[in-house]
Amino acid sequence: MKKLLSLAVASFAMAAVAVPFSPTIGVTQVTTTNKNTIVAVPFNSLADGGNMSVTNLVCTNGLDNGTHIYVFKGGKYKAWTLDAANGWTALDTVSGNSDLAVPSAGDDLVASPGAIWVVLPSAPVEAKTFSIYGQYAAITETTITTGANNLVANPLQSKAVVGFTGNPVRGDAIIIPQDGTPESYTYGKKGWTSDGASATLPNIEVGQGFWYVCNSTSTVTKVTWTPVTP
Amino acid sequence: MKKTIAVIFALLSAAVFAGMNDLLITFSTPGVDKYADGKEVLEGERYALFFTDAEGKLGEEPVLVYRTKAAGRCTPVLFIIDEKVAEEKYKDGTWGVYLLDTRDFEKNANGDELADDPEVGEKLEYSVKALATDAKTIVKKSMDSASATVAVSSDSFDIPKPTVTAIKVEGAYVYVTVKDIVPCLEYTLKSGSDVQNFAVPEGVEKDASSTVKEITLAVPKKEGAQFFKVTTK
Repeated sequence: MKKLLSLAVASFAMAAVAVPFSPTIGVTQVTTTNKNTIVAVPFNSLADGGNMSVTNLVCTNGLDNGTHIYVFKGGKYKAWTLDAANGWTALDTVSGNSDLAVPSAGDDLVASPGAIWVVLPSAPVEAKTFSIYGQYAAITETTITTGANNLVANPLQSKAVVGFTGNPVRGDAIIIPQDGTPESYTYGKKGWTSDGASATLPNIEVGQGFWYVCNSTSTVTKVTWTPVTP
Repeated sequence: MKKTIAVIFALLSAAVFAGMNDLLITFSTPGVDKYADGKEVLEGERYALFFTDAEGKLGEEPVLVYRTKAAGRCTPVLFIIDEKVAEEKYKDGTWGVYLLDTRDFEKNANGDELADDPEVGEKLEYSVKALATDAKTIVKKSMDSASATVAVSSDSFDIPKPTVTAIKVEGAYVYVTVKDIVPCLEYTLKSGSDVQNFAVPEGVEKDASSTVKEITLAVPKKEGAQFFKVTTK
């Protein structure tokens, strides 16, 4: 058989291409001993890097049926419940609680660094661990709305020291929920106090948070988060 | 019939070592490519990539032989050579693409039919490490390389960033579902306990898609925060 080996006269393009990387994905384990836990939304959507749906944020593995997620929007709580067959399912009827409202389209989306509530069916006998995940975003501060109750949570992947941009004023308060009486800190002449005694604000665990009650005269515009150094 | 051999360099181009030190090369021709007799190149014709070393010695064997998917041009092809092989065999040289005229003049006097070419076929029996599954074997039929870790073809090679569509944490593993992948290109997960340092964890295997649009990769779960990137190396 005859062979003819000839030249491709046409020009051709040759180029090196970069090794492709996906955006950075974060998986954070949240451990709680409480039935009610404020949980951070430190990530963005896997799909488009935009606001995160809470139904995608909280991994269902490790959680029991009847666990609830609450999003605080428009002064109302919107809830999703964990159903074994269907995963996170929006509560479609609400009665007997004026603080609750049926979720509307888009209510499941929370901008990072936001926060939500995770409410277990009962207080765990042993510490409960579950995972949140999404597209990593480098976040070190949370914007505060003056004159409002702000649900904030530690967006870092480590225990964090709480700081502020601006100055707290008398009447500002931090309320860290826990089963039973919450852990409260109020700001006054002596600075931060707890049960009337001067206090240092506690470090906040990974993925967890608190209410920041911001007085209308407060100049706090942001809560800042700094990793606890070992 | 008398054998005629004509070899002309189309273009030489220095290879560039891409990120992570694997050598990634794409090539194509805009067309219309023609044989020496002026006829348009047939669909399925072979294009060969040769390496010429720093002393100007042309490789005795092609690094890659590719059957084009369109008439008149070399459709885009990408291949990756492991960094160690690239360093050992393809350093400080240049690359050239050749059109191999494998038309069967004995079967067809007009030369408008490609030969089922046993001679060339034997010559091109190179191993391709990445080819294992049936789907990948299909790729192997149209592309052979002595050195490529993986070789794929496509309409274009703007390699998309892989997109993570879902994560599951089950038992001792984190499962990551990935889309926007190039078929047959191997993907893996790099993991780290912070966002600065990533490495492929021990025991994690690469995976590649053949025809499906998504793959799922698994990595051992660790305590605390864990970060991942999906990549091809």
